[in-house]
Amino acid sequence: MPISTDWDDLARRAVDAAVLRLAYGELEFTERLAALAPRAPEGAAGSPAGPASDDRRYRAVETAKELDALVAALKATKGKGGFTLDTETTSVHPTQAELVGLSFSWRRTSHYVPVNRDPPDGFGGEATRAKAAGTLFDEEGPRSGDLAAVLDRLRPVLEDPTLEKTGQNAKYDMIVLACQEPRGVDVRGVAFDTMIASWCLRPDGRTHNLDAMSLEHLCVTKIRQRPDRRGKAQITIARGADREGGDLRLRGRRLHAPPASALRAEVDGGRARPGLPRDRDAAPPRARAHGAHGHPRRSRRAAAHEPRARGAGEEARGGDPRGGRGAVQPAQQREDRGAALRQVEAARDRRAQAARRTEKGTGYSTDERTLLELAPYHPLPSKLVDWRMLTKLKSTYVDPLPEAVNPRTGRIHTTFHQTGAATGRLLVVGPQPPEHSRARRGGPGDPRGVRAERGWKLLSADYSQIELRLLAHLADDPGLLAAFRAGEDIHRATAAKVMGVALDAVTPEMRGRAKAINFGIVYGMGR
Amino acid sequence: MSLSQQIKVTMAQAEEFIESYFRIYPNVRSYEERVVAEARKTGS
Repeated sequence: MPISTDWDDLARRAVDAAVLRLAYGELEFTERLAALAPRAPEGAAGSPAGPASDDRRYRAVETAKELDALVAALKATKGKGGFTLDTETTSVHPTQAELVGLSFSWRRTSHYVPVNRDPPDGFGGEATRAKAAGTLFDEEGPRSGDLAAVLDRLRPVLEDPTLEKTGQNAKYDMIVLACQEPRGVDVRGVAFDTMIASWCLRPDGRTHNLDAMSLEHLCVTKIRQRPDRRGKAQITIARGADREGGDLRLRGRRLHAPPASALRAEVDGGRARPGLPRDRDAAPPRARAHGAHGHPRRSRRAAAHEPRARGAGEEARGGDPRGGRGAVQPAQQREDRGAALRQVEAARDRRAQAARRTEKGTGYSTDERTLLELAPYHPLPSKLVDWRMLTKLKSTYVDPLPEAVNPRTGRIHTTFHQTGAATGRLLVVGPQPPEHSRARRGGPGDPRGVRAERGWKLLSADYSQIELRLLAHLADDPGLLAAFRAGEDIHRATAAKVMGVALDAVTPEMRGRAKAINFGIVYGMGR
Repeated sequence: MSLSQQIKVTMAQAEEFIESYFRIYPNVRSYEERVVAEARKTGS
């Protein structure tokens, strides 16, 4: 049998990294992709895994003179793409974070400005101390109050709205800087955010951090470095944001100017921090009422016993109209009575069934479904369901609030994640703010649990008919647009037109139908 | 759930509602068709 393959053809060959990288990328094998030896990007300074080979480009700013030079250089980036900004801090919570350092990057130049004289280990402390304790501003600057002094020098650049800044989750840095004492920096001019851009490109992506992005867009494995080598991280940002042909920024930009404005709007929103009452009396009253239900464990135990009694007992019959034959009127037709009796029997069977079904080896189940099934036979099961719901609300919304108060500001700071939901909604992380005016008293969003600072008000705002407004805009439909422009109730207007009646002749039922059609169209509902 | 189920009418009636909807908002129909066509073409 002729075999054209010889031994050498079967020998194991070196991996074709380029092909493999493409394949991994396409198949979204991100872990494998990261494990591939990173390709040194052309023209980059040094290999990504090594230390910066060009010290001139990545440097720490440690004297007032250097800082002034930095400020001048940053100013010079105006109109030329601006610079990237990043803060190094001690916490992922921006309102609780201590500022350790700031880094700036433009073109291929990066500067790190340490501002905390004695930062904790792991946050640049080693490097700062190693440089010689307290050299920061020793020569020409003040020895104390370094942070405030540094910020004051950077302030004109950071607060200049015409000087473009790029960030990775810049909102975080903006809040950190705004929270600085004695005078926060009101960062303005944030024109681009790589995290939001990444999310806009791939809202369903799992992560939008720099590691994932540099891998995806630049085929570069970012170094997981310590802040004292901050310069390296900035290279990554700089590449992502500034490099010519930088995929991310160009693509992101093309897609999204709006996120930048959304970002600004959001940060403004984030600054309206709800205050929290200092007195316990202002806690939602359900929290107190809840006490009347007794200790949760005790109640739960009692509750567990109750259905057992119900399942076995006869005593419940009196309380249940369907349980007694007296419920059937003697004047009824015989057939009716027969039917009623059968109904009663069936109800009993169901009750018995429900009770039986609750048995699970060790005892009776009190899960919600069972309790709801038992609800018609006695008031207790539904009370138990209510109680559980209130307990949940209390532990989810009421109890965490006092703990969420930032000791420094006396306020609750909620974070809105712009990249948390693929649908484009904001994801609230941390303490839930009072949500809306229709919140039930004692329920989530009960606004009485928080109050605004004196002289301020809590504002609740929501989009109105956002899907249909978008549809009107995207479809550029004159009828829809006109209805919205006229400030009409869009469902009513639709009903009037679809059903051919006057606007004020639309009944609630007609409006309901029109509403179903309106949303059905938007969400592609079938006939 | 389909429209007819949701507003409790027959499928023919639902069809008619949708038809008249598209008559009063004609650009919505063309927009929908455009989007579908584009999705067929580009796959996204």
